[in-house]
Amino acid sequence: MNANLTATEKLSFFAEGVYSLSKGSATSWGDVTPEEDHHFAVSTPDYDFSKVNEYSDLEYTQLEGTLGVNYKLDKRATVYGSVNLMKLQDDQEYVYGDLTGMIVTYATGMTVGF
Amino acid sequence: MRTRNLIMCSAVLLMCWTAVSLADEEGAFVEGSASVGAHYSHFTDNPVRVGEYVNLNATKDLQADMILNLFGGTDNTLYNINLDYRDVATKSFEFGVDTKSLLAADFRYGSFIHNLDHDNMRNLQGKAGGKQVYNTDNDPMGRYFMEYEQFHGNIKVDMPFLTDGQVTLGMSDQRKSGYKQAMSIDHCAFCHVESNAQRVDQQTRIWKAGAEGSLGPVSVNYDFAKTDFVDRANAPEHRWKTAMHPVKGPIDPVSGLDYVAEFGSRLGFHDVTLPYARTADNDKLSHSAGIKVDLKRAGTLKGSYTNTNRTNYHTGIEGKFDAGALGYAVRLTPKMRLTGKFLAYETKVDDAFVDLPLFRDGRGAGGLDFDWNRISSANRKVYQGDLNLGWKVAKGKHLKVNWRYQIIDRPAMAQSQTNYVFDGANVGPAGIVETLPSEAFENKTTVNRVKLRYDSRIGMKGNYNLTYTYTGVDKPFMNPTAMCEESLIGTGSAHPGGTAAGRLYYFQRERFGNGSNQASQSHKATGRASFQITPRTSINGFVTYAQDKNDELNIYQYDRDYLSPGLNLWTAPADQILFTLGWTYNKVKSNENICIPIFDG
Repeated sequence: MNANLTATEKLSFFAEGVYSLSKGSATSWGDVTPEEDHHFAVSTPDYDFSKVNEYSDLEYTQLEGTLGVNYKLDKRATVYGSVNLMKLQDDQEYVYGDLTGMIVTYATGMTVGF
Repeated sequence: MRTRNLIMCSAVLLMCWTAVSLADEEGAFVEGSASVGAHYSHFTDNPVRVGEYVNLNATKDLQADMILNLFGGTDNTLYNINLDYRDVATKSFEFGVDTKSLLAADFRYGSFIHNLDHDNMRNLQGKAGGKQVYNTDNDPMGRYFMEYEQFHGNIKVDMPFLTDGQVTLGMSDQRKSGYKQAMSIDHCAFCHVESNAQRVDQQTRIWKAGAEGSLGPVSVNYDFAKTDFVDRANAPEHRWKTAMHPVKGPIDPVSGLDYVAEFGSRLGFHDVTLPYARTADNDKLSHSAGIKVDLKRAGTLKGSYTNTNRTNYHTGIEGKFDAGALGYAVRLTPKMRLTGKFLAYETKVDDAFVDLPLFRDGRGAGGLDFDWNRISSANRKVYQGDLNLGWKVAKGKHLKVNWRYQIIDRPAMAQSQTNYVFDGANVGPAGIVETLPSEAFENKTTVNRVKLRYDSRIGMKGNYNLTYTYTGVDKPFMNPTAMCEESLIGTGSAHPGGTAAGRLYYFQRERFGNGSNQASQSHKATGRASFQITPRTSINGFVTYAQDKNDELNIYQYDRDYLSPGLNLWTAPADQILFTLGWTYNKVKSNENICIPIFDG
C-alpha cells in the first residue's frame, strides 16, 4: 500500500505499508518402522518419528509501514519527518528460537533541490 | 579502512569541486537534490530477523544521515554523483562520467550489515537408554553478523580505429568481516554437536581487462580476469575427545578391556585440538575470447572460448575449466527464425590423496591401510546442443520451440567414497574373501529436453503465455551406494591386504541402495496471464505444475509433485493512493527412503 495526501499547498502526508503472512508445513512421516534387520537384532526400535514433520512448521507475520509529513519552506527546500515500523511475529519457533521482534525508526531532516 | 574512507571523502570533495567548476562553463548544467537529517531507532524483543540488514550497533543512538543526488554535464561530458550515508556501516557512493567520445568511467562503493541467525540446537538433545544426542554452545549469547564492503571501478577507453572499439579496465574489492556460527561434530557423528563463534575476515579482489571491436562483418572480443581470495581470520578450534566406549567409558569395568586403545586405533585422531571450518585462500585466472561474423542473409555465426585456472593454497589442489561455444542464427522466413547452439566444457580438479593412519594398528587382525584417491565430484565433461525455433504465428501471437540434448560425463558419479564391495561368496567370519574398491557404477547422464512456449495478447489490455517442458534423463546423478547396509557378520568380508576382520563393519559398509533426488522423467507446465481490468486496476496470475519421477533406482521410486499458483492485484483508486495485493501458494509432495543409523550404522 502506498498513499500520498496533499493537505495544503505546503503540507503533505505520505504513507506506505507492506503486510505479509508466510506459512509452511509438512505432512506427517506416518508410521516409520524398520523393514528388515540386516545386522544386529534391534529388539527395541523405540525411535519416534511422529513429530519430525513439525520441524517444518513455519508461520511469520511481517508488517513494515511508514508514516510521514513534508512541509515546503519554498520552491526548493522541504523539511520532513517520518516514523517507520518493522514488526515480525514468529508463531512457529524454529531452531533459531523465537524471532519475534520490532524496530521503530524516527527520522527528520531537510531536502534542498537544485 | 580509515585510509580508504579518507580517500573516498577526498574523491567526493574533488568530484563536487569538479562538478561546480564544470557548471561555470557555457552550456553546462547541474541538477539534483541534497538531504541532511537525523534518525533514531530502537528495538524490542529479537531484532535479528526483522532487522536483517539493519546496523544494530547504530540503534538506540541518534544518527546523522545524508543523501546527495547530482547529475550534470557540459556539451561533451555527462556526470552523476550519488551519495547515501545512513550510518558508519550503511552507506553507498557512486560516481560516473562519460565524455561521449573518448572515455567513460564509473566507481561505486557500498557497505552494509547482514545480521545472521543463531541456531540454539535445542532439537539436538535427547536420550534413550545408551543412545543419546547432546549439544554444547560455547557462545550462547553470541550475536552473529557480517559487514560487507564493496568497491567497483571501471574505465572504458574508445579505440576510434575500430567500429565500436573499446578497451576496458576494471577493479573490484570486496570485504566481508564479522562473526558467524560454526558447528563441529565429535567422533560419534551427531551424538555431540558443538558450536563456536567463528571470526571472518575475507577479501576478494578482481582485476579485469578487456578489448572489443569490429572490422567489417567480423567482431571480436577478449577478456581477462584475475581473482584472489584471502581469509585473514583464524579458524575456530575443537577439542576431539579421547576415544572410549560410549556407555562403559575408557576401561571395561568387568573385563578390564582398554577401550581407549581399542576405539582409538579405529580413528584417524582423538584427544587432540584441531582447527575446523577453515576457508582456504585461493585464486582464479581466466581468459575468454569471442568472435561474431555477420553472414548477411546467410545468418550470423558466433564462437567463444573460455579458460579458467583455480588454485587452492591450503591443499595445493588446482582446478581447470575449459569451455567452447558455437552459435548460428538464421531467418528462415520473415516470420520464422532458427538458432542453433553447441556448448562443450570440461572441469578437471586434481585428485586428492586421502592418507589415513593404519586401521587398528598393532591390534589383532588390524594394520589395514585404507588410503584412497578421492576423485572430485566437480569433474565432468559436458556437451550440450540447443535448437530454437521462433515463429510469429499471427499478430501478437508467438510460438517458440526448444530442443536440448545434453551429455554429462562424470568420472566420480559412483565414487563419493571408496567402498569395498563383497564379491558374493559367503565363507563366514574366519575366511578371507577378496573385496575391491568400487568402480564407477555409471558415468554418463544423457538429457533430452523439449520446451514449447506460446505467447498471445488478449485484445489491447492483456496477455498470456503457456509453457510446457518435458525432460527425459537417462542415468540421472545418484549415489548408487547411498543407503541400506548388508550385515558383515555371516559374509566375512575383509580388506584385500589383510586378514579377516569381523570388526570392519565400521569401514566395510556394504551399502546397496541407490539414492537420488534427481528426476529421470519430468513434466512441467506453466501458465501466466495479466489483464488491465480498468485504467486504474490490473491483475496478473500464474500457475506452475510439475511432476517428476525417478524409476531407475533399485529400492524405491522417487516421486515429486509441485503445484504453485499465485495472484497479484494492483489498483490505484486515486492518483496518490496505490494498493498492491499478492498471494503465492507452494505445495510439494515428495518421498524419500531413509536408513536410520543405529550406533554402528
